[in-house]
Amino acid sequence: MSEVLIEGVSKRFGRTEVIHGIDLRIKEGELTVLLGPSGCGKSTLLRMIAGLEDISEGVIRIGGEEVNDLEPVERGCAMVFQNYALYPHQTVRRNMAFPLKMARLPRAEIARRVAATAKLLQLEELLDRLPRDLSGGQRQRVAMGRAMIREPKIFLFDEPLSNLDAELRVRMRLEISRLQRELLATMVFVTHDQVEAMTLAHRIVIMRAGLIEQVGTPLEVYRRPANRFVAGFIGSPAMNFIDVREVRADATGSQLTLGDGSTLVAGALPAETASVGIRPEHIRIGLAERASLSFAAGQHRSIGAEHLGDRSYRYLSLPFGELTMLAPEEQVIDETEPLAISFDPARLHCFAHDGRRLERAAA
Amino acid sequence: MAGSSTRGAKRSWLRSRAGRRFLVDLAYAGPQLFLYVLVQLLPFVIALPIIFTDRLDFLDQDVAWVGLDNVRAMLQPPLVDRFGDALQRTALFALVNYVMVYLFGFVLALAMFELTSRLKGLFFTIIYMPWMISGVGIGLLMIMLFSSDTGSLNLLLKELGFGRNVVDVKSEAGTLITLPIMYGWKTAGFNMAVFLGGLLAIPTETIESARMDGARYLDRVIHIYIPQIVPSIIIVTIFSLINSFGIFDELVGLGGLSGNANAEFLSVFVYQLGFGAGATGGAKIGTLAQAITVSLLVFLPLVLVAFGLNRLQKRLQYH
Amino acid sequence: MKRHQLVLVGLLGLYCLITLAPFYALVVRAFTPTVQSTEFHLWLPDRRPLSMNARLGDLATIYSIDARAFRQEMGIKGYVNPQLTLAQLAETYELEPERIRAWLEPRVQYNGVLSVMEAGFLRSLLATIFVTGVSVGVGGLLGIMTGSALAGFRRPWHLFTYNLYMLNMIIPPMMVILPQYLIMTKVLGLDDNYLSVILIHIKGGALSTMVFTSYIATIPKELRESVQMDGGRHYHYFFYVLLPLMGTPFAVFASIAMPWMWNDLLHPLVFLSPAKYTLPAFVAAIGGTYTTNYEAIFSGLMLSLIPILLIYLVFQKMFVRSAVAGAVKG
Ligand SMILES: Nc1ncnc2c1ncn2[C@@H]1O[C@H](COP(=O)(O)OP(=O)(O)O)[C@@H](O)[C@H]1O
Ligand SMILES: [Mg+2]
Repeated sequence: MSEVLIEGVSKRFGRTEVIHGIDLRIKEGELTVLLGPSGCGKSTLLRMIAGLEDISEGVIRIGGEEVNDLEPVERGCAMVFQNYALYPHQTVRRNMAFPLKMARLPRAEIARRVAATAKLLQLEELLDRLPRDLSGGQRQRVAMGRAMIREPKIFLFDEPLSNLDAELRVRMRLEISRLQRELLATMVFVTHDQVEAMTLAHRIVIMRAGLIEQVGTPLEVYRRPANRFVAGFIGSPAMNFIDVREVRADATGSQLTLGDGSTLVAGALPAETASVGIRPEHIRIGLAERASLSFAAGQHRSIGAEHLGDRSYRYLSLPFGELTMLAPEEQVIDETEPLAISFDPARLHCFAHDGRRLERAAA
Repeated sequence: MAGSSTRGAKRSWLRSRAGRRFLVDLAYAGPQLFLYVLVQLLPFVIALPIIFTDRLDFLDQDVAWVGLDNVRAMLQPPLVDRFGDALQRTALFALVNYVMVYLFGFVLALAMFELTSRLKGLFFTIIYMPWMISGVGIGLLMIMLFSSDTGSLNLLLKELGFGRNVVDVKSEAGTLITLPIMYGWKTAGFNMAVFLGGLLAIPTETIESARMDGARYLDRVIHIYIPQIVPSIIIVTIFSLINSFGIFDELVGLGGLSGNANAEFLSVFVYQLGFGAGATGGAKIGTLAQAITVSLLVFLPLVLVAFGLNRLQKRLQYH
Repeated sequence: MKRHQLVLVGLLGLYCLITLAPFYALVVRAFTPTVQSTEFHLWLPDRRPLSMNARLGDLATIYSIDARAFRQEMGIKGYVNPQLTLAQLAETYELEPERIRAWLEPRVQYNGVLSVMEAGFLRSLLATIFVTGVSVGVGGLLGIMTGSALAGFRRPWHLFTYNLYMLNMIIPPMMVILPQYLIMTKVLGLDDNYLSVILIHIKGGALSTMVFTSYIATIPKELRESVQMDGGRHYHYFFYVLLPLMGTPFAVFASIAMPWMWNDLLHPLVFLSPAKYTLPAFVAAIGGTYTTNYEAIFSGLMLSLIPILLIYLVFQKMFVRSAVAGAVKG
């Protein structure tokens, strides 16, 4: 029983409130990622679950039991810190044995569990080294080992991969996924990196300024972002937003008047749409798709391109604003020629004035 | 009823997480804090009000409030001359001593900073060595070196044909010249370390770019080094001020408590006022209250200066 | 470049020689008989043999020799005429001249060192080592405990307590010495007790609080939280994690505080009786008793310097590194 229930939890440091009454359910056996820009309160929330910060208001339950007044160890959580928090003067072996020593386990049992955990994490060769003689990835694994060895009900990770280089980050991501599957553990993982979140999570919790913006599986938050903030935060490069002046419905669908007065015909859209969003990867050059926009020569300007080898991102300046799109590497965009772009209207996201997502009527 | 409920609330606060953390902090900070309050703060609090009384010593049974009479006593005969002399000697010493800080400490630090030789460690060890000598030891060394007729330096100078008794440590001028020199010698290593620490903390890029810009050594010292070691300068200034005005042990070594009038600096004067004469059997020259008054009178402004400098240092830290 | 370095080495070397000169002079003077102290000696003067024609009284005056100890040693009862020469003494009391010489000669030739030894140097040295050792050790431990509670200033009272310790800098020792004496004797009953001096040293102050609090504040708070997560209590954190990491700040503390405590004059002078003086007070007292016996005074100074210089030289790497490191932090 390791479901975590967060009910109306707030956190104040002195007089500033940084978490404003959050409700959240973290399901047993799942890997939940807390995602959000830095400073939004992810670590604070995680540390309240861990018992490292007091809860100013509200209740946290683990396995049905209220834990507000329990010490960290009584909550059955283990934590991996961003800087790993390895004890610098103790060898890997003693670092990993420390939680068991605190739990007063017999020596033989400690040795057995250290050996088993070291094997699982491929740390056997490193057991007698000091943390300062380990590489970043090795330290990270030791920190994981120290968390695992106690067989906690819940694993808490606070940006554990952000001190690693890109390649290692990918490897450790896979490793954490594997461990989660093997141990069937409940994990809460804090990150500000949306790629990490998308690849790791069963469920993503997107936070902003001490509030939860959306909870959902990676595909849900990608496909149906609850608001403009989530839409812009998930996906890289970020979604394009185009302001909409007016929506006129007729028999064939809706006709949108964009910020610069140009018009766009798309499927039926809600009347109160204030802006639409379209991801770079859903835009094509040419008129292949059902909704399209055309620009005369001189109306469009290229303001930059990023070439990734297999594909490229083009940054365009258009009459209604700037637009990012994915294009094949060999695609040439000539400013002295007319340009047409198009997309599937079903890919269009609609947002109200307050940024809220607007659902379209089923087509 | 109300009382028991607040007590209950208090107990439950101590049981809460915040309460337990407070108890843990207290368990660790408490022992030393208790000692500190008992043997340092309490005596301070006891001593403070005495400045407004005519208390002779701590066993005085007949104590009266006298307002600011103790301050007035310092400005009137018979004490005004001794107080004035002591103050003048001390201030002069503080000034010369402060110059010595730079003559010894700063110059040595500059030299060490430029030095790349492997002898650096040896030099540092030797220069720091006199710091281990007690204040009494410094006083006795001064007697050994600078006494008339028997001082080693006097004898050496005589041997070399510079005449007899070039310096006399017990003369007014002799004390004022030799004391800062020996004190500078003792503290050279310490001051050097403070300055050197400051110099080493200067980002090397700023020095290198100054070289690229064609700054010569002296230019670099004035425009690059000194502005960036202001914190170190302030630290040694505070140290030098407080130590100069508080200098006592060295003067004991020089015989300040046993008749050497030229070694009567402020701290010795305070000692004599408070309980000095008891040792020599003579009549006391003053009261305990006067002693405490003088030490406050002198140290309080000093402390304010030191605190001001300290604040300044915090603001001037670049890195 | 090269020449510039050579000049520096030369100048610094010269300064080092000048620095060492007083130490050298002290050794020479510690073995120069007081009667020769108006002569210049570059090296230890030759020991002159003891003349049997010297008068006992003169020897006693010049070399501060205890006449009663002499009588006891020689088995002489009653009054001895100090005007007698040693040869006459030997005759009068039927003593072997060699026996007199054997007892008196070292006391004359190494008068300084032996006088100081007989005045209780070793006892004073042991007392100093005891007081300083306990003070540095316990003071350091208390300082670390204080630092572990205050570091980070998580509560207003932490900062307040920290500032209380800073206040220590501004309290002139002279001003509080008498109330301190009263509290030591009347309240704590520590009359003429080393513990009183130790208490003064370990009571905490600006140095130890500053050094330990600021160093502990640089230790990632995650280490403490990690112990907490692993089910450790604060004392587990303190003993298993914090203490092993305190090497550097303890070295800084010890290398600054040790000379202070070792060389403290005022408190032993006021709190202890002469029989219990630690070295600085002992040396000051020698200066008082042997007012004109320079050989004894300088021997006392030399002997009192040797132990602390030895400690310094053994740990000089630590001292030097701490001096610069401590300075950087301020
Ligand atoms: N101990 C603290 N005292 C005061 N404010 C804090 C403290 N810890 C965090 N904060 C503030 O709370 C907010 C959330 O911090 P945090 O949870 O660390 O953000 P994140 O982990 O999402 O980057 C930030 O604005 C931060 O400044
Ligand atoms: Mg964070």
